Amino acid sequence: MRAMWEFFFGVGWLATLTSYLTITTAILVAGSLVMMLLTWIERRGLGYMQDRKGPNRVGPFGLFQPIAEAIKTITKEDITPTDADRWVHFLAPVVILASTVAAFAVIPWGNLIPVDINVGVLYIVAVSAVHTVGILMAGWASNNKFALLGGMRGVAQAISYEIPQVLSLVSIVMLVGSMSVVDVIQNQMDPYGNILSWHIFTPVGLLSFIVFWIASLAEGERPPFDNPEAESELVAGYMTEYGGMKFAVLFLANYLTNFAICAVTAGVFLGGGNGPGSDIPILGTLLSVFYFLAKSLGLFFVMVWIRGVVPRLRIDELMHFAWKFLLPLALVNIFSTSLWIAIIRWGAEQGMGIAEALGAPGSIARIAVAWVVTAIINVVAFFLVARLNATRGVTTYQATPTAV
Amino acid sequence: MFDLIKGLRTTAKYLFTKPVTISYPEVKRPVRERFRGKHELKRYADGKERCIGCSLCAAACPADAIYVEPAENNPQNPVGYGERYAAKYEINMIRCIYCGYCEDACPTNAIVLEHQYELSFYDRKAAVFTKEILLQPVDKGWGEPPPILQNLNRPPNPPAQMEL
Amino acid sequence: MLKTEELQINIGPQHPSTHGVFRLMATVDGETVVHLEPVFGYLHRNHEQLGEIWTYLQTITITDRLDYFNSMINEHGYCMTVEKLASIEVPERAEYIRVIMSELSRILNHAAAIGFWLQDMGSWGTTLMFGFRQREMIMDIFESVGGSRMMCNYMRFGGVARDLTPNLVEQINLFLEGFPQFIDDFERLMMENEILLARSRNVGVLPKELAAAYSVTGPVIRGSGIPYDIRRAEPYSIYDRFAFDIPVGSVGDVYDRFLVRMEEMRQSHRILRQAMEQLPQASGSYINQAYKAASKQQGLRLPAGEAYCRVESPKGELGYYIVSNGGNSAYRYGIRAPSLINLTALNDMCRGYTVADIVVILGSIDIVMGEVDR
Repeated sequence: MRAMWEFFFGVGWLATLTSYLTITTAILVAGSLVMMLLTWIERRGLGYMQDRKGPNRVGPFGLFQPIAEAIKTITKEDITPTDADRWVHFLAPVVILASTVAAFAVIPWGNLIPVDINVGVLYIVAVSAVHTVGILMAGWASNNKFALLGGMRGVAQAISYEIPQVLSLVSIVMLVGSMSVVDVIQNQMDPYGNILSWHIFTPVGLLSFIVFWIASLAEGERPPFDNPEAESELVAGYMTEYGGMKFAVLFLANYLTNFAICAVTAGVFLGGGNGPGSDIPILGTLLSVFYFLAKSLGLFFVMVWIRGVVPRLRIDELMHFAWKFLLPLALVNIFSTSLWIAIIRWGAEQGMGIAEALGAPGSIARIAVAWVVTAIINVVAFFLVARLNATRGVTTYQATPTAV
Repeated sequence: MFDLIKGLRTTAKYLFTKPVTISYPEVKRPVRERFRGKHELKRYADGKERCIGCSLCAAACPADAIYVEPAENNPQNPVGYGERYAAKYEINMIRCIYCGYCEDACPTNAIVLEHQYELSFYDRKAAVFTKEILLQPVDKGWGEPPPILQNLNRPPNPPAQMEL
Repeated sequence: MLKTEELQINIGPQHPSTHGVFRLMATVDGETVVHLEPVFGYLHRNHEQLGEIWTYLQTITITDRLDYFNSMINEHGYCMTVEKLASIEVPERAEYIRVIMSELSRILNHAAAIGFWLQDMGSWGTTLMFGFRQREMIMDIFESVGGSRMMCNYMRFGGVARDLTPNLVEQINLFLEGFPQFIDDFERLMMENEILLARSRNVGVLPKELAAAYSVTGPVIRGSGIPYDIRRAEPYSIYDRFAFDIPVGSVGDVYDRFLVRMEEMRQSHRILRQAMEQLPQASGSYINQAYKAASKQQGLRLPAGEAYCRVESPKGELGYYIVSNGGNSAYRYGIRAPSLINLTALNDMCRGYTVADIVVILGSIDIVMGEVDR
């Protein structure tokens, strides 16, 4: 990209600046477009799940519905409540959107990589954590009790779920040995297009995926963890006092977060843009973008699907779930990851001669041993933790029909 | 934990069934035989109005939606078969609760709640349906007037004689 | 323990899940409810006063608007009261039609109520839509039968307004055939759902004694374990002819009420099956012929006296009290609205639970503001 602009301008710094601006604009535009697509998928998918049609009036299959709504929300009057803290009220959507968009800097769209920094995974986690501040600002500045409760819930939830989220990523980082998102995706690359090389198809990666996905649902305020917004309880949570453009920005940020989550999950666990033919020079780039979008949107559809079924968790149950279910699983997973690494990479001279002791030295045998060991640990841990967390039956619940 | 999958499966099943939605303005759901919608003032087969301006419908109406102003029929050119007819017949469609009591009360089956249900107005004045809107076209009439009403040859009753 | 300031939140009158214009003054400590005060009356429409001004026949139309989810049962109760006061005989066939309509109405109400309850819990509409799809089918039956979908105005003194034609019988039978499929889907969608269990078990517990003391009725008291159902306790109409069970809960929490409602739908289905079977053998017409004329005109005068009748509405015991002084409208007219009485127990049910539980508990009582405020 930079080379292209340098060809035009002939000046180095200008070319760098322009290339960055181009990429930023491209990301923002693509992000907004994807967000529109997401709202359409969500409403349409939910509609069909509920045996109805969903938006179907504006454009073919209602595809232009998001555009109509964008125009409507943007042209609405911008209202700030009388007693609200004007500046904070104004800044909150900005902070939330900024932190969300910043995360896109390191997310590769297939083979198109905006920036490849060597702490990419950490960067995503760190930057998206900033949006917690925005939620608290929005909740506090609105001068509304519902908004305040929503903001508090948002902060509590985001902070709690960040821990299992990060810890589950730690296992992947350990597996890969690098924090760069590109390296993580490269690690899943298989020369023969074998999808079994994706992280999700290892026991370690699977458990990590489960923990990460659930924690991310909570991070993105998706049902069943949409407590900060909780329509039936808190009207709209921290967004209660927002309208018009500011609400549109909050909404955009929300969906961008969701898309970022899907994109990161697709990249870290599902091989990003990897797929058959993604390494062909030019066509491969297009193919990889297609694979990446297909995987991300597929994951988003799973989000919608979950939304169609489950009720919302109560805030205390939500906390219990994070601390008592996800956190132990993430910790166990780190342990089994280290075992995996030890068995695969270390031989007898490092003191880990398990495969040799079984009489089958060789990488396949080592992988097999690692597979079995980690699978057993993870499955046992999962069921143990699930068992310990199961709602203890206080009473036997039976609606017994009695003839009186 | 695994019971969630049961719910997911159920929704997935409905994902591939045809939605029950009826796309309203294009596809109009036919109403049932007994549906009570917009009122219509009926006519006899020869085009004469059935309404005799008795105001029983207005009395039966729980919502006070009906206003009837009767007038004496001109024997040379009668509007209906009764001695009187409704010079003004107005139903306020905002007040109307579509209970069907006017239909029950009507001695000549003049007012019938028909199947039209698309009733929307731009202002409250437009919601007051006048006789012109309610009255059926001339050629849609049916049935013969009952003998008790066929007293057109008789002059209207003389005004009551009373001391004031 | 850190002492924190208590916060007073007004949930309502404009709030997505207060089921109408209803206000809950909740005093919360953090998210825990310390005290809860329901404030109602925003939807007051002078129902009882209107009933004293309008004629008896006209009053039927506003009983529809009491609890607009089951207008048929409201009419049933009102007509029974007037019939009792005027000693009007109801033919057997009319009674069957009434029972069929009442039970359809109960299914309609429960399907919608469970859907709304899940919506309050945050289940984004799937169950609501499933419930509403079923409700739509029943409303279609009501439209074919009485001419209107919600405000049916179908029952008259001495029977019902119009007869059930063979076509209609077929339509109802068709609905009954498809019903088990619906309820199985409904159940599969949520009965075992882990999150639903977590949200509803041991939430909003109303102990047996307290429930009886508050004189709550309907699924609320049955969820608390008292098998009190007017259809059994004081069989009205022809309910003594049908075999059906009364489901009761064991703990008295929100989940029990939900289970009771699910089971009641099945029992209603059972009653409907029996009623549809027996309908052809029922004697008499759809209305008492002697009162057919009176049922069309407003001139019905009741003898002086008073009467109280109660029916089992899906919300609980619905009672009508009419005092007549011989005129063509009631001298005094009063209603025991189950939603209102059940609502009085709300504070005791909610105390100690969180804000999120308030709406779930409120949804489990299943109130309709049209009935609470009248």
